[in-house]
Amino acid sequence: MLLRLCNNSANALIRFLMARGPTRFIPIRVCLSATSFYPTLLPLAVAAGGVVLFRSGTIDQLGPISFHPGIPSVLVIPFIMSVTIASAHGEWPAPIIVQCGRVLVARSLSYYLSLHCAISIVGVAYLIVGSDLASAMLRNTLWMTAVAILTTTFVGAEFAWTPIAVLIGIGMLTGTDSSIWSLYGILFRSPATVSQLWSASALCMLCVVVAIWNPRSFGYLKRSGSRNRMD
Amino acid sequence: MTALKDGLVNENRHRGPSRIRSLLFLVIYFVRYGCLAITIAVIVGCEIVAMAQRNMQWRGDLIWTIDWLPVSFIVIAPVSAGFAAVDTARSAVGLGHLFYNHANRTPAAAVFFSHSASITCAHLFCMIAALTASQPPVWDSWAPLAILVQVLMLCFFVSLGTLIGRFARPVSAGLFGAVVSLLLMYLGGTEGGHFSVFAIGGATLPRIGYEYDPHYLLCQAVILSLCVVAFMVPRPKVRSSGYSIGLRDSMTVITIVMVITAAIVVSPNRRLVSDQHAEPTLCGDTASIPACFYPQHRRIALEFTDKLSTLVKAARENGYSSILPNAVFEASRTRLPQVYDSSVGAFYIMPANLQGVEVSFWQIASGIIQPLQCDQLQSDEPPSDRYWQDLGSLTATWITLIDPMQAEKSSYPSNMPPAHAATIMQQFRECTYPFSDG
Repeated sequence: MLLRLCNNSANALIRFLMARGPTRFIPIRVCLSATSFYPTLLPLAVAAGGVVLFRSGTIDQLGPISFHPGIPSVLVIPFIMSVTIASAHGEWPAPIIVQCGRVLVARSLSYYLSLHCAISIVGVAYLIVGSDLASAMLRNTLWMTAVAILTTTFVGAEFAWTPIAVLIGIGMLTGTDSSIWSLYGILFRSPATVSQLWSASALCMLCVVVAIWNPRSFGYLKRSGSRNRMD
Repeated sequence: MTALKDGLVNENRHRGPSRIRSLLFLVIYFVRYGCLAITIAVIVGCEIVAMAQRNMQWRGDLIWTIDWLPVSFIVIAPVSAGFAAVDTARSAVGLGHLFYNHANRTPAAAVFFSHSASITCAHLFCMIAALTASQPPVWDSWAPLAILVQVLMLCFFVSLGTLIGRFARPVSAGLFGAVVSLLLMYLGGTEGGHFSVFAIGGATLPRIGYEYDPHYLLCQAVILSLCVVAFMVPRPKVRSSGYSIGLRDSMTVITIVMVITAAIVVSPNRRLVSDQHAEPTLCGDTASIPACFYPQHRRIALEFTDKLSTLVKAARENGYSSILPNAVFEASRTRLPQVYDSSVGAFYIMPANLQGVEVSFWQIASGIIQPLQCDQLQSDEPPSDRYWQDLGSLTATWITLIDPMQAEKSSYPSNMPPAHAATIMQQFRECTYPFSDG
């Protein structure tokens, strides 16, 4: 049902954007298969299963550190969702030869659909665990995705997990902090504040735009100009 | 890539110093072309952050120092495993045929040897720095074994990373390595009266009065070493349907897993055991009352004796000499001085005091008055309200002689006459006080 909704909205968008030219009759399924949307579906499904399975679970101890109060398990699940979205989009199934408008549209579409699915999983969490934890999960999903996307864009897809894993570890290491802008507050405070949600959303939007623009790789052929002509 | 291939060949062609040179070559290779440099930076950075936490409260206590540093493994474990997985997966690209070599001549082995050697050096460097800052006056003969277990645990996570890197793509290998290592730490790192492979300390309380159980540490070392071997053995065979593992490798792993299971069953339950020989030996006279501390707490002993001296003088000048003990000894988590001599009082040094929080008169006075040696207070039945009232009132009366404001804050009556105070103190010492309501 969720996938169908995503596909319908994406279909409308791509019809609008690609109404002219030879790609007019390319089915949405084929178009998406050239992006990184499909590889994100299985890990996102695993994350959704994790939300259902660990809806009331808490992490009371991790290795040598005890947590009082325990950290709700659902707040760690965005780690998997964000790294999946970022690393999948760092490794495209089809090579990008020319950075043109269609590439940007396809890339935007792929990011939009993956993020849409991730936020839908947060919506499922809202129904299961309540608004407090769901808002914290949404905040974590947004800022973790932003950090992972930025890492993928500038360092590489294989390192998307690194900054988030280190930040989660240091957040656990430094312990409880009442400030909403401390690492503990950004990671584990529940419910999320409005300012946290707004800033995480803005950061995520900005990073997605940077990732779509993809300043590190413009493709290896120029779009036009005499310098690239073989003659 | 060719350089790595040459390194793998050289690494096994030579013995002795040449072998060390080959290992150094691999380290340099992965520092330049892999993730080793950032792994070492993360390890050293996290261990320094862990050391600086809570005002370095572990200083002076050897076991606490050794157990405190691995708190940072919560970050180091996923990072080590993740980066080892990424390096292995990337090394395998174009060198897949080298996985058919003997298990110690594969790209995974190269990653394991170079990462393990570097991470071990980084951890030992931080441990030596922590021990230098700590300057423990008392040494535990099994401390090197505890450090070895920590090193083996790091090697465990590196080998786990190389195992994942052999079967995963570079993009997903790091994520899998990090998530699996965190899961393992979550599942196997709890010390709850049973053997735990990943029990490495992380104490929030002083460890004075405890010593390492060498059998527990040995079991951990053996199991972790076997796990490392088991992780290094499987070599992927690329087939059209995906990866597979050879029969010989599978049988070796199954045998090792069976040995590990048997070792876990026969392992002891407690990592730290009570050390009954540990006594406070750092002694001095405080207003003619002997006061003794564990030498590990030398740095805050003077603060306690200064306040004790003020309390003793105030009690003597106001006719409350009968509540004064013959001596005051520091209590550990396993030894109460009042148990051996009821006329002796106890100092209870809290972690907050070791973090720099000033000790209060109330803390010292209540530590001396409380009759924790009495069996009635050790039973499941809680003491009566009257006991808490008398204990609070006696302490408040003593504190009023020095700091009436602090006594007022306690809300206990602070005007207990000297004769009544002497009677209650006598009952506390002899455990004849009616602790329960009945």
